[in-house]
Amino acid sequence: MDPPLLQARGLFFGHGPRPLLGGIDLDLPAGSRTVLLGDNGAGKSTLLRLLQGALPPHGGWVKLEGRPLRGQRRRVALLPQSAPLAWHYPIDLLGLVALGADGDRQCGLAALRQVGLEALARRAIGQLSGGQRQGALIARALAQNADVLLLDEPLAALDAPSRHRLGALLRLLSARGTAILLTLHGERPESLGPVRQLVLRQGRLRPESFFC
Amino acid sequence: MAMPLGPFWLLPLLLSAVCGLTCPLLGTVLVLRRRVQTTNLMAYAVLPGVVISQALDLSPLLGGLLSALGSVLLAESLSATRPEGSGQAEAVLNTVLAASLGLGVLLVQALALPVDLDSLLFGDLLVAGPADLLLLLLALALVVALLCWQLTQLEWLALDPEGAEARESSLGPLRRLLAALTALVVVSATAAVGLALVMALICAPSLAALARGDTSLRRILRRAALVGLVVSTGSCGLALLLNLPPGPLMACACLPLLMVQAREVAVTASEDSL
Repeated sequence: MDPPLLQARGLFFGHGPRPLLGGIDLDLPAGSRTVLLGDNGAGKSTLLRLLQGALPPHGGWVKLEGRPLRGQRRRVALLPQSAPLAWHYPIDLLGLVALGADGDRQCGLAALRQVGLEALARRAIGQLSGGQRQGALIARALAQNADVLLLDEPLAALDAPSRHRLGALLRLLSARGTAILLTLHGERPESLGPVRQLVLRQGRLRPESFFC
Repeated sequence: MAMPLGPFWLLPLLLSAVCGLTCPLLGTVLVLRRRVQTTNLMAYAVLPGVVISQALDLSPLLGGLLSALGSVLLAESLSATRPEGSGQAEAVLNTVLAASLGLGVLLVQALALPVDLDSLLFGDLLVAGPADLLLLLLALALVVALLCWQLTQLEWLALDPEGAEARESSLGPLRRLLAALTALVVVSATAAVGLALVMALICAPSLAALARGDTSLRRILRRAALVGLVVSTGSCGLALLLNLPPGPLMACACLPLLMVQAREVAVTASEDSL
């Protein structure tokens, strides 16, 4: 049997008797949509950073298609809650997305088409709305050939129509084989469709549940 | 009627032209990377290195480069433990800047060296020689080469360094190369505009090029270089005609440039908000 696209075993992070993450096992199959819930400070963002390799774990490992993450981190895109991106930078949307494909604008345009932002290709990134910025970062991740999307609170600060659009986009991407893990605080948009739900509490993932 | 500018003035004009191209090209990258303060530190920190190298009969270029880079390393190590975004790192950087300048002046006094502080700080094109021109041409060639071969990586560095690291793009060597090149440009521009005034030529043309809201870095770089060339050679020519020091005149010429841009930026911003 093929291994899951992204696989984590025994992920441990923190010190002392109550570590932030105390041995996380997680599988993200291709085309899956997973929502990670948990209180503030539960370690959701840390877990996402560990899964992308942005943070080295104190124990355990993460593999992509059964191989160590090192050397293939660009296939796992992490979109932080507030991406520390210089939005005032003089570049248009297509230029930003094409950077994900090492400057290949054709590839960038294809990624923009996937997320439905093709019409804004020439717009300066400083003029994009919050929802469009999320879409831009997802397009850049797609342009860099990401197979796994890790989104930290992607719906925060989005209005209802933008939440709906982003939910539909994530559903479309997962239907094309992208594994998606997102953290949420509020309600998920219906357009996201059925998801697997995980709860992070006291450093451990609680038993999984599904809802439609 | 005698021509006001004869061959005697050719070298100063060439120097100002090459300086007017080099500083804005690198300056645009530095402004976009938010490294103007660090560059300012480098400019002042060149002084003690130049003085010490003169005392030891070594190359001022080498002394200036080492001194500039050393000061940046010192400032970064002293601010490493300060809370991010608190402004304390900036305060540390400015303290190191002042201390470097002070150290340079003290060394001149203590070692009783025949150093012309005025020409070091404010430039003196009339005493510059062909070696200064060659050094500036070398700096220009390196800056152009960097922009040609590393433009995408430079954009990552300025736009989203964390994102670049997540892609396992190694930006460390590029960061170090950029720091070394900045020190080289600052030292090589000393003859034209001096350590104290080089920042005007690094910043103002870049700001002028950025003011129009363009989204192409290549076009912005070309425009910055053109503005820098005009400001630099225009000021130099005027200084020669009016018998004024070229460095300070170049720096002063940058101020009206900013005032014109302020209007342009306001227009662009209002267009964006529509």
